Amino acid sequence: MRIVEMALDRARAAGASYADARSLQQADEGLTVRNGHVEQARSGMSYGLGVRVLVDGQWGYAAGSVVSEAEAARLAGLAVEIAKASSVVRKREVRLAPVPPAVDTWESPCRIDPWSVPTSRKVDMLREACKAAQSGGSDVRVAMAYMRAIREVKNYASTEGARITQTSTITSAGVRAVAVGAGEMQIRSYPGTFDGNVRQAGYEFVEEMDLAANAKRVGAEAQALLSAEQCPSDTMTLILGTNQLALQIHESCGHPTELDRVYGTEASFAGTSFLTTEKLGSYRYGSKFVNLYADSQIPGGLGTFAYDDEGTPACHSYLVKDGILVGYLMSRETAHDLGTVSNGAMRASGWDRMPIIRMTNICLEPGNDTLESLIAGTDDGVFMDGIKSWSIDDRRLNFQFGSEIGYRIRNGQLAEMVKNPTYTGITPEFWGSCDGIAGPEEWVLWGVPNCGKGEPLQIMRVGHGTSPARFRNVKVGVGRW
Amino acid sequence: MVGKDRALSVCETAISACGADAAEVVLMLETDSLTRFANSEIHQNTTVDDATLFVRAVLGTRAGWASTNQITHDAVQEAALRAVQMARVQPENPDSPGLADPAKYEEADGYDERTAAFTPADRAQAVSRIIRQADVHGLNASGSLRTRVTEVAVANSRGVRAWTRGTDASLITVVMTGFESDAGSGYAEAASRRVGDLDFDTLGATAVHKCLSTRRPQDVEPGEYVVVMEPSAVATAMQMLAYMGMNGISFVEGRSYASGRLGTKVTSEMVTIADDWRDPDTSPLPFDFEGTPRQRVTLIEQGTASGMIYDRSAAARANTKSTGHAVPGGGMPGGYPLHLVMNAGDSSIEEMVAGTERGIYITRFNYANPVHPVKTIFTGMTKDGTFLIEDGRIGRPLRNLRFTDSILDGLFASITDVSRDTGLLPTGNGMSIYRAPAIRARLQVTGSTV
Repeated sequence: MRIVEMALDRARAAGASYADARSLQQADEGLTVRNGHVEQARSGMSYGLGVRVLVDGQWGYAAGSVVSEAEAARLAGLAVEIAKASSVVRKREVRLAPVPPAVDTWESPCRIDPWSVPTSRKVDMLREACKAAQSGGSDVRVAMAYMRAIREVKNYASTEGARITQTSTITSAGVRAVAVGAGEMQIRSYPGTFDGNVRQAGYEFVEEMDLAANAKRVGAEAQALLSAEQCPSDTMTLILGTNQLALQIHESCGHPTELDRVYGTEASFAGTSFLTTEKLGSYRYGSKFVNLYADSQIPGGLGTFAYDDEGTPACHSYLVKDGILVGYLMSRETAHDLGTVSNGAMRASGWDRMPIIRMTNICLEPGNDTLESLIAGTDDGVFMDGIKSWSIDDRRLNFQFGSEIGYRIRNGQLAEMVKNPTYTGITPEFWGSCDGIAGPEEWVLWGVPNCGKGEPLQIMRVGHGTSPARFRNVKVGVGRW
Repeated sequence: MVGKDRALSVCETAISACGADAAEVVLMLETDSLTRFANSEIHQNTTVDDATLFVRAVLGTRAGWASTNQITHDAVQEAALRAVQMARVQPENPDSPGLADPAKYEEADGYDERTAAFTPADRAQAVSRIIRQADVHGLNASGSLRTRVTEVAVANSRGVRAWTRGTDASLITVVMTGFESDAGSGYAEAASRRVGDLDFDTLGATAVHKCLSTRRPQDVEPGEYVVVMEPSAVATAMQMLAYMGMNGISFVEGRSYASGRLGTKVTSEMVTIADDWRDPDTSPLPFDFEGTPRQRVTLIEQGTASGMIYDRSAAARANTKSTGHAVPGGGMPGGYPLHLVMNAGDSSIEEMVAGTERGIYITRFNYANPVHPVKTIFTGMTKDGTFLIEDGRIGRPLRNLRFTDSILDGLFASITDVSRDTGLLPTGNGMSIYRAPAIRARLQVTGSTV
C-alpha cells in the first residue's frame, strides 16, 4: 500500500486534482489434459501498478510492471502528462459522483486453498475425466479436461482517502468432448462451455463438480450429435437451459445497460446501446415475468467484491423490474452525468488497464415454474443449452446465438436430439415473449471468464445467475445447412 | 525496451536456473500506448509498460510452463523453478515434440523510430485532426489511435538465440450523426508498422463522408445478395477462417476445413491466401515463439487447400516439420497465422459497383463469430456503411444486416472480382497485420437490426 500511496502523492504534486492507484499481484495455475496426456501445466505470476489521474477534468492513465518507489513516481508523472495531452480536444470536464472513502479489507470465500492440493492429484482427476469422456463414443477425437486457479491481491487507494485491500481466489474446471465424422464436428461441455464453470471459491468447487462422473455423458452426447437431425428452421417456442440463458442475459441485458455504452464512449469498439436514458423508468424491455438485477454481493460470483475499482461499495440494484428498464451499470463519472450515485460497476481487468464499466453478477430472478412444467406447456418447440456461437449488433438488438445441443419438444414432452441449434431475434421482442421462468431450486450461478470490452482490450470475469426460461415465437435454425 | 544483449541474457539466466533436461524461454516486452476518443473528445488515454517471460522446462518427455512479468534476476530464477515443478508432477507424455534446433534467421527490420517516439501529445494532435473534420459537420467522432513498441527474444538449451524488435500503429474511427436507430455512421481504419503511414486527414474524411451518406437507412429483405465488400470486411472473413481452421492440431484432428482436403478445391479459384511475414508492410517476425524460422505458407492456392501451418506439437502429430507458427506460452497449441495476405486481383471497387445491377455494398463486419468451424459457417453484422447498389451505383443506405453463411462454400466460392488495391488491417494482436483486397461475391443475409 505504501507504494500505491506514494504514487498518489506524486500525482498530486504533478498537478492532478484527483488520483487513484491500484497495485495487483496475481498467481495463476492452469492444467489441461488432452486425450490423456498433459497438454499444459503452467504457473503464472504477474505484478504491476496503475495510476489514474484527473488533470483539468481530463483522464490520464499509466501502468507498469516494475513496482517500486521510483516507478510509482514515473508512472504518476506520465499519467499527468497523458491527461494534459487529452486537453487538446477537451469538450467537457469529468465530474465524479460522491462516494465515501472506505478503509477496509476483504477476502473471497475459499475453503480448500487450490495451492494446497498436490498438482499430481489434480492431474490424476483430470486424466480420469478425460478417459471417461473418451469412452463416450468411438468418434470422440478430442477429450479435454481442465482446471485453473487464480489468486489476486489488490491494493487500492485514492486521493479522497480510500485504502482498500481485496483478496480473491478464483477456481474453474470442466471437461469437453469433440466428436468428428463425415464433415461434421460436434462439441459437448460440462458443466458449461466457458472453462467449465468458474467461481470465487477454493478447490472445493472443483470437487463438487465431479467431472469424471459426468464426462462419459458428455462424450456420448457429442457422439450422438454427429448423427442427430439438423435443427429445423421455423418460428416456434424456445426453452433455454441455464448455461445458454446466461449468455443471453450477458449479451442482451448486461452490455446494453452499461452506461458508458449508452453515453457513446464505447462507440468505436464494443458499440452503443438501444437503452438510452430517456427510456429509464418507462421502457418495456421484457414481459412482466422479467426481473433482471446486478448484484456484486452474491457469494462466489465472478462479479462479487466488496468495492469496485473506484472504491464504490458492492450492492444489489435492479436493471429491469417487472419488464421495465429501471437501472444501469454505472461508474462515478456516468452516475454524476445521470444525476445519481454509482452502483459500483467500475472494474479493470488488471493493473495494466484503466477501469471501465463492467458487469458484476447480472441475474434473472427465478419465477414459479419448473423446467418440467415449461416443457409440459409447450406443444411444438426446441430446448437448447450449452453455448456454442454468439453474435449481437452494436446497439444490442439483433442477436443470433447457437447452442451445443438441442431437443425437439412435442406435445409437452422432450423428443429427439437436434444438432447445430441456433436462434435469432430482437432483444425487447425476445424478452417480451418470455412467459415462464423456473423457480429458485433450478437457479444456477455461472461464471463467464472471457467478456471482452475496451481498448486496449480488457478480458473480464463476470457472473450470471438464472433458471431455465421459455420464450414464444422465436426464429430457430438460422442459415443454410 | 532492454535491447538484444540484455533480453538474451535474461533468457539465459532462466535456462541456467532450470537445471532441467532442456529448457525454452520466451521474453516479450511491450510499450502499448493508446489514445481513445468518443463524443469528439479524448476520454481514455493510456500507456502501459509490461514484460512477459515464459519458461518451458522439459524433464524427459514432460514439459512444465511458468510465466512472470518481472525480469529481475531473482524473479527469473523463481519462474524457472516453478516451470520445473510443473513438469515434475505429471506423467511422461509421448506426444512431446522436444525443443527446436538452432537456426539462422532472416534479418527483419520492423522497427520505426518515429513510431517508438510518438508521444501522448503527438497522439492527441493526430486524433484532433479527425475530430475537427467531424466538428465541421456537427458529427460525433470516436475511435482509437494505438502505437506499440515490441521486443521479442527466444532462446533454448539447444542453442536457439533469436531476437527482434518492432513497432506498429493503428487507427480506427467511427463517425456518427447520433445514437438513434436511423443515425448515420461511417468508418475508416488503417494499420502499419510506421505511424507516418497513417493518413489521419484522409481517414477522417472517409469516415465523415460515409457517415453523411448513411442517414435514414432503409430495410431489405433477407436472402442471398451480390455484395461488394471493402478490405476491412474481407479481412474479418480471413480472420474467422484462420480461427476456424488454420491450425495444425485442428487439421490432424479433423476439425479444420482443410482436414482430408489438401490438394482439393475448397473455394473459388480467385482465392489465394498465404501467411507471409515477409510482406513488406506487415510487422515482420522472422521466427516463432519456439525459435523455429517462420515460413511463408500458402494455405489456399487458387481455390485449392494447399498447406497448413504447424507449431512443433502439431508437426509431430502430422509427421511433418514445424512451419514456425507457434504462439507465445503454448497458448494456442497447433499454431496461428499472424500475417495473412489474400492475393490482389485486377478489378477495383468502382468497377465492381458499376458491374452490379442490384446488390449490397459493405464497409465492414461487426461482432463476427464462428457458427460451425468445419463448414466455415460464420455470422455477424454489417456496420458503418451498408448501401444498396442499384444499376451500377451506390444508392440508399441500409440498416445493419445480419449475415450467416459459409466462408468457403458460400462467400469465397462465389467471388467474381478481386481488387488490385489492398488494405492493411489491424488484427488487435501485436506484430500482426493482415492484408486484404476488396471482393465482389454473394452473401446470405439472414436478418437486420431495427
